[in-house]
Amino acid sequence: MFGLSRIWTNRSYRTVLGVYVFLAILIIASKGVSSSFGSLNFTSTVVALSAFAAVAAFGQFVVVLTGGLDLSIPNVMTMAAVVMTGVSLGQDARIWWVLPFVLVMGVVFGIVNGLGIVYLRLSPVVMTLAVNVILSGAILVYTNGTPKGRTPPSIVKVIQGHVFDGALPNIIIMLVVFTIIGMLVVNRTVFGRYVYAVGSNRQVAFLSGVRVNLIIIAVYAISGLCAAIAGVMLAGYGNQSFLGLGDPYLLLSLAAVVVGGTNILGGRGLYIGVLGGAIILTTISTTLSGTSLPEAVKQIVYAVAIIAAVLAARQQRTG
Amino acid sequence: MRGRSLSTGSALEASKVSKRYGATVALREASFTVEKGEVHAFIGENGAGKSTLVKILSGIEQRDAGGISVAGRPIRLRSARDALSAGIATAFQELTLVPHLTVAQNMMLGRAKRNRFGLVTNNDMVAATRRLLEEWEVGEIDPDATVAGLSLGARQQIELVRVLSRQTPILLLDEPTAALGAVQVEWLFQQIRRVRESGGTVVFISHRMGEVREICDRVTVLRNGHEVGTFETGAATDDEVVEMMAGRAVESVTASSGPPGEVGDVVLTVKDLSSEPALRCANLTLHAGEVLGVAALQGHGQFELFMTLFGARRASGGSMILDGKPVRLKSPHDAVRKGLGINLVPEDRKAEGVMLAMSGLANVTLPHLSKFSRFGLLNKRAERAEARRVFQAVNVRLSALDLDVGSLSGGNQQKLAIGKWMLTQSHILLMYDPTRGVDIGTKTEIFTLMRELAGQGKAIIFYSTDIEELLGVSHRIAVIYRGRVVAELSAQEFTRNRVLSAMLGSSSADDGEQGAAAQAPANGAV
Amino acid sequence: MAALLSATAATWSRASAYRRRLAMTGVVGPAVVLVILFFIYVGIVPSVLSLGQFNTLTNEAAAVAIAAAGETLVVLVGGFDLSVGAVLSLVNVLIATQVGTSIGSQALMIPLALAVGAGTGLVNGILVNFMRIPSIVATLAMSFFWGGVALLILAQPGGAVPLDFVNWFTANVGNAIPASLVLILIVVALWLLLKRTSLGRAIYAVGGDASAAAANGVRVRLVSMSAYALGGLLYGLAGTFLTAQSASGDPNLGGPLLLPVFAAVVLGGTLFGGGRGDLVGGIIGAYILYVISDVLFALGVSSFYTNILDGAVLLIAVVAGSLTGARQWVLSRVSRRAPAAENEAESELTGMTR
Repeated sequence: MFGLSRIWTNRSYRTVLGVYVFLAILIIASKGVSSSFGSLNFTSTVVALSAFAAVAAFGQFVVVLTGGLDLSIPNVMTMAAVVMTGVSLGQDARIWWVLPFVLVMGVVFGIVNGLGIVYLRLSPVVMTLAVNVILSGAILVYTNGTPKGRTPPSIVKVIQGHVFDGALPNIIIMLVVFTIIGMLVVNRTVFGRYVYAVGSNRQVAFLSGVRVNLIIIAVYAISGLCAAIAGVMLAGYGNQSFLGLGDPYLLLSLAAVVVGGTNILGGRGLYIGVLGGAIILTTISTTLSGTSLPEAVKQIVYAVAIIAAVLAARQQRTG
Repeated sequence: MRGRSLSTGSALEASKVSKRYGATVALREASFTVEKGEVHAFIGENGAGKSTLVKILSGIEQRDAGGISVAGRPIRLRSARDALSAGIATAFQELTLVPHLTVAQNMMLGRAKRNRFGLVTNNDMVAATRRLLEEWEVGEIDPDATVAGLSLGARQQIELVRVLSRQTPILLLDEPTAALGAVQVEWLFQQIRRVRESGGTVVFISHRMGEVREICDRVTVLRNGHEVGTFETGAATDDEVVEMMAGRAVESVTASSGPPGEVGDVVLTVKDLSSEPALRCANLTLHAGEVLGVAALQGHGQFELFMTLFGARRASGGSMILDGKPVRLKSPHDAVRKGLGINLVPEDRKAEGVMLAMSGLANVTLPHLSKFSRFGLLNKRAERAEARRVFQAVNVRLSALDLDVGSLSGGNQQKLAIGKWMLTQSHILLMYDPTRGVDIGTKTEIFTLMRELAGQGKAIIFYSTDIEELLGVSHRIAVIYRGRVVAELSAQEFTRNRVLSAMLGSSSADDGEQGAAAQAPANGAV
Repeated sequence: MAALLSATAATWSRASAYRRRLAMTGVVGPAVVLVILFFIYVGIVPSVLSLGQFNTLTNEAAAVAIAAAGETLVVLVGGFDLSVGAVLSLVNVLIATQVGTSIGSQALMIPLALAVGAGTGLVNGILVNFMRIPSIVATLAMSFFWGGVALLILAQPGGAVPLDFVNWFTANVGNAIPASLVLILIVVALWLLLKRTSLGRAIYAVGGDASAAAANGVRVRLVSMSAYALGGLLYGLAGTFLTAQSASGDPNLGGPLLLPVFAAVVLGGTLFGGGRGDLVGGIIGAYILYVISDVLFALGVSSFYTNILDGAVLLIAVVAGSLTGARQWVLSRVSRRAPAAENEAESELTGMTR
């Protein structure tokens, strides 16, 4: 009744399965590097660390599903972080309005992206690139070159805290909740179906009555929101914000999306796969840091992982 | 009379060539011989395998099985280069011109002459192109013009000249007159005669018997991917040819679905609707339970009419009155909400009919997801139940519910594209060439579906390039010429000839783009 | 008299043909913008016309300009190269670690850099054309890869580049013209030559409509690979210049240049999707970016605002471009068939298929 057989026949599900099988192999293999790796503790650390990329990657994921690309994620993240610390100045007092404000700000930047793409007919690369550049200037102007303040303590507590006497990091719970909500939105709502339709064949979606323009603006808004969330999370993790906070996440979010089996041209992919992709990348990074191999090797392994993921996903096409 | 050069011997021979795309068999052990120095036509309905044949002979696609030989030598056609070096130059129906390059740049692609530095200058290219254009008697085209800015007819001429000037032993022309006006068609025939006189062989793909009779020596009829007969032009009547093409008398296809039913009240009135520049002034009325046929030559505004009626294109003037109330449709979303549906199958079905990467289920429920949702969340069980009903109604196997639509046959895809609108209150269905490229069996099913839908009180506006189909299914036929509805014929009034002459603008002697010679379809073959 | 008239008419139509072809490259707009900006700059800081200051100006943008030229080549065939930053870093650390003090060894660095750059381009080309990996993904992966290799070669900023090498690229030639300008002019000259070869023509054809090109016997995959390889070659050259500028090695030198390179390509009028644009545009675009920031600096505006203005200029430039040429181009791609197939197609998104 649940259709377990459907998992096997549906290509996207098969790809996700492949992602997690690969992840499991990686985790088990990490034991070879250090005996403290490959354990439950290790897994929990890795999952927690991947939360930032996973959240940012969700935004990139929905944008890619429609056939677009969001290059503004880095500076939306950084902007969210510096405004959070700069306005709250390490106090909890203002949190009740600063936090929503920052998140709304992310949404607004996303909407701006969407409007430019839909109504100015700009390519997503150009629009999001321009927004990223403009935001980098805005960040500099706002912070005067040096981000001020610290993250409010309650946010720090939430992000860095644990439950069950230190066994389970809060951040994992947040990630799980986020994933559930995200997957619900994408897989089980009308909106989600429209997103897939727009990415699969825009004209058919248009001629089926889907409001394509609205959907496109919406996915960029979501991406902006997720970037803002990720930025706040990072600020909470590091107690402060800094310039360039979001920079690694451009390539990381894209890598997580690709390794997770999403088709870069749109219309195909599952978030659970993207999550797996983010965790794979973090696992690689964490495992390698336990070796004496230089940091550089991590990047090389990332590269191989991305290529392998694309080729493997293609093999799934049985006809 | 047509002369044939004295040298004989086969120029091109195919033996049991087969090709399939996924579940669809495009060519089924097709065999034929083309003699040297003749103009040989291949005709057939849409879906008969003509375009697949062209793709294989031109090297764009590879055959799955069977042998091909040129001048007695077996050849492997792995790429377009292979075909060219084997001596086959192809003028494609889908023009192979790079749009924003100039005529000269396109002509000289791959074969520009180099100057002594090994470079190709623009001036050289322009001069060489001018010489070629003049040699092939189209000197009026400017070599420096950007292709994108030229008319479709001029572009087709350029494509043809490019191929003609290669002077390969075999020329493969795929629907070469599709965009040509009468004068240009005459030009082409003149050039083809020149080629034949110099010993070249021409393979001529078409569905227009009139042209075939005028220029071709022999004809091979294709049906369902297989050759069903080869004969000298003039050895068979049009009726015999049509029977070979369709496999049975054409009338039976539409007649087998029964006579048109009763017609109710007016549901849609269109007054002076325009959408510049192609649609100038459309007036029509549509009744519940009616099938309103639309007849027009290619490019006369019928597409724009459909798009405007569906809100996918902005109206520049005129009005629509839907169920007694004036409406202004701002988008297809509007149209769907007000109960319209559209079934649009352009030349490349994959671009607009269905979403290939999504499941049958998802395709079929897309316009009406709000029926299965509460607060935005989908009720997947209800959705699946409804989808099953649609699948059963259009006779597509239920196992396709979860399969990617791309793996289904063209006919099934088309049935699902129609079925998409059955789930709802869409009481007006705009069907644009729904039977193109679809096999006979599915065509019958589609007409039966149309009858059923009309019987349920829905209203259908039905455009087809096949006049016989229109005659068989419609209650009335509206004819569009140059962006205007020039005739609205009721069942008693329409005969093939009346429709045809209205399509041609009846009394107009000046034809401009579309000429009589180019568009005189024989019995059902359009 | 008649002969004179017809000769004049012939020259006139030749001239207008030239004008039309020039307009088709999309370079005129950016060139005009650059000239205006430059005049503004000179108006504020007249000394910029002195050789010394002019040299500084041409130097600061040269690396991005040459890299943007390379990126343009890839975009012309319909690709999208995210690895440019990493390749710049790679070339930089290679030179910084391998260069010796002798003139010979310094000179050797140049072909080495070019070869390495071309090699990375070739790898990209193979991934995209023979393994059929979309170019965003392939170049994303390679940016990680080469970045990692760069780190392996030189983990921390260091290394030293001899003065000779530095001067070859950053000083003036014969006390008259900056070496960087000469370099760029050489690149432009070679490009103009390339445009007139069958490869150059084929690049535009492949980017414009790959299947049409294929049907005409163009070896699409080979042409595309060549574009990637030549692009990489230019990255190698840009990296060489960068090294001369910084006189040292830094594995993270190139990363931040990714986005400015893209901005330069866009400002130069090249459209993603392929077939339309020109290398010269990318070079001009790079200089537009730097002149803007120089002007702002001269006006005393905080450099923080530069980025904002860059982004705004980018948007304006693209919107302005889209109102004219680009829209026609998009529509022409869509309406290849009979009018029946035309419809209100939304403009392409990323438009990247190879």
